[in-house]
Amino acid sequence: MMTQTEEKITFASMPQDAQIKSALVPCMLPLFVLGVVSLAAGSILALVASIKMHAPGVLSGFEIFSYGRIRAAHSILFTFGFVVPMALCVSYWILAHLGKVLPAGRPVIFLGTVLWTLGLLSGTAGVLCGDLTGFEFYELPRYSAAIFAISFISLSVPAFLTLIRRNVRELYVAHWFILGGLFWTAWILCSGLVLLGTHSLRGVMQSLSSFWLGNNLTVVAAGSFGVAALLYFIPKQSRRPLYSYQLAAFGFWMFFAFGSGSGIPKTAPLPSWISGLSSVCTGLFLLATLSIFINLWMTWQDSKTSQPYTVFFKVSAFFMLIGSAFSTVIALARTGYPLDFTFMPLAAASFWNSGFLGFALLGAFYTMMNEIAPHTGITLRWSKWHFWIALAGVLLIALGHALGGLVQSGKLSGSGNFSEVTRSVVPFMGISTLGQNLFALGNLVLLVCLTRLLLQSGKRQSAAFITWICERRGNR
Amino acid sequence: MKHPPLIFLAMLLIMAIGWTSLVATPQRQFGNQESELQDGQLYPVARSGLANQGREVYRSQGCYYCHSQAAQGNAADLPQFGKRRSVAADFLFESPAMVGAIRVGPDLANIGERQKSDEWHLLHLYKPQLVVTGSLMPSYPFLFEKRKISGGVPSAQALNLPPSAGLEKGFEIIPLQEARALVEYLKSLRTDISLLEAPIATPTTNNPAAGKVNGKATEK
Repeated sequence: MMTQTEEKITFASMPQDAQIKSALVPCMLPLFVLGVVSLAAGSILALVASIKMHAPGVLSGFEIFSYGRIRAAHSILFTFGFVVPMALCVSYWILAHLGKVLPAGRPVIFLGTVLWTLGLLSGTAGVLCGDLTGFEFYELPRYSAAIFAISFISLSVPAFLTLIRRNVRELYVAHWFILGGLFWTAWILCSGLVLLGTHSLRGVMQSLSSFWLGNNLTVVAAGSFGVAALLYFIPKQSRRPLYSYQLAAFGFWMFFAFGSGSGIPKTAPLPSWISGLSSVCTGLFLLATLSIFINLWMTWQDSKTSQPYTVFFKVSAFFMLIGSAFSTVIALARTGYPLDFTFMPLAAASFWNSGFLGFALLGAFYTMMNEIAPHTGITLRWSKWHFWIALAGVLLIALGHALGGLVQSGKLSGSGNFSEVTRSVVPFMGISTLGQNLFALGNLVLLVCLTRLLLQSGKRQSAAFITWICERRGNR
Repeated sequence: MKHPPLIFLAMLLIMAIGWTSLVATPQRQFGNQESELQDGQLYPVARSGLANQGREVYRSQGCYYCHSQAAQGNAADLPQFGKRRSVAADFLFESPAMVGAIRVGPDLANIGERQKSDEWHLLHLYKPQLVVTGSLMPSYPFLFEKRKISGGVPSAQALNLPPSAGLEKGFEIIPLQEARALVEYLKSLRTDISLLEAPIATPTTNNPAAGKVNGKATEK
């Protein structure tokens, strides 16, 4: 038992919020820049890929821009360039603030960021030059997979140390998901390197491993960071405690237990027990996302206060549930022509990736930037534009793919000719392309916002430096 | 839920269970599969050198983002995309095994049987719309060389292009080694050997699960 004096001393020795923020800036800023640039570049590639779906002649003379290569490059830029760096920023922020502790190992984080950027550049350049792996669910050349595995260790060890050194010993719900996300990402990066990087598996086992790895990376690992952001920022911005601890615990274990088994398409040439087991896991995973959503909903529904960025998190929570519901329908529906082969999985992926992960991490980005540089007011103005443009973009992308997928499945279940049916869904691809245009535009808005923030901050820093020099000269 | 080491251990257990069920167990089940005699032929067998090179072109262009190689045992796929459904054994010598997940273009599991002509494949790669009206597939002109006809006689390797291709007079299009290898690979994709786990099937109804062999439902 601590005495009152000891408690006072401990509390007084804890770093203040301002100290924590200023210690976090140098760790987070390079990761922010990497994330925002990757998101903007990736969404432009996704736009080009979408245009090619109904205008195949566009850029067809350039090998570097062939459809498969730009899809692969977009996937690397989005997952490894945007999601993981932003998720790490969110983790550092939450761990330091909840634990009332300064982030540990800041030079190691910087080193890890440099290495991670190297991995990203080599991976993106590699696939654009034709070094694809053959696995669309886990598209990562061997050399960049190795760099990512090493750099993730140097990026995640400081996060674990920050958790261990925390001054507030209580463990919050957001902590669970961050711990899970860090552990899961490290495991996936290492096992991906061993299973696919060393060619130790034969035949269709390679595909099965790539399905498993890809799903675990985007749904479980990245998803847990997204959920952590929602569970931390929504109660904080609604100024209410999380509705139910028990429901959160239920959601947490269901999320990891069944998320890890979902995502294997039933159309893969595998024994039926594998896809059957995976379909059941996908269905049960919906219970996990539903329980998390209900917990968040009950937390924010009666809240009288709301901050400008809360809307990002609320929309993200909706997209999480819809994305998971779409995946369940695809996995469990028994249609004449499997939905897995249609554009429907792209709709589910849009909801999960751009919708849930995108909005959760963007909301976190704007919240953190606003707290770091509240005097500028830039994030407040630009985030409104970004929110509405990106929301319209994600909805149109998903709508186009979902409608196209339903039409494909319906027509091909009968005696439809494949080529004719594919041509008949071109208008729906047009809707998706319009959405991609908007999503890319929104991300360019974000890029401009970050650039302006950096320029203003640079001007302030320069002004402060010049004042300091003048003062020194004056003193002499 | 208050002790990080316990959460970590529980997560390790979950991860181990997931990994064991969906990676380790399937690996035990068919990871050590070998070729077997099927209908008097050894199946599957490794591809020839040129087809192997073609697989690398298929991989490096990311063709698997649009084409699957996984015919299903249902009326929608049979006989349109194959004589039987695709199974794990079909990919035994594939590295990487490019199963594909979404069909923007048709399934290629049996393209070698469906389309045997080299010329058709080459024209299709050069400009798909020349052989499939309204095709949405992009062309791959960088797999070909455009050159001046020397001595007034076109090369024997030149593509026989229709006037609609819009090629200038005095020029010819020669497929590069990559294009020839890719065609060889595509022609090697066949599912015309009946297997014990996937017999050659004839769909009899429009029912989703209607892959039937001699009136009996096939195992899926």
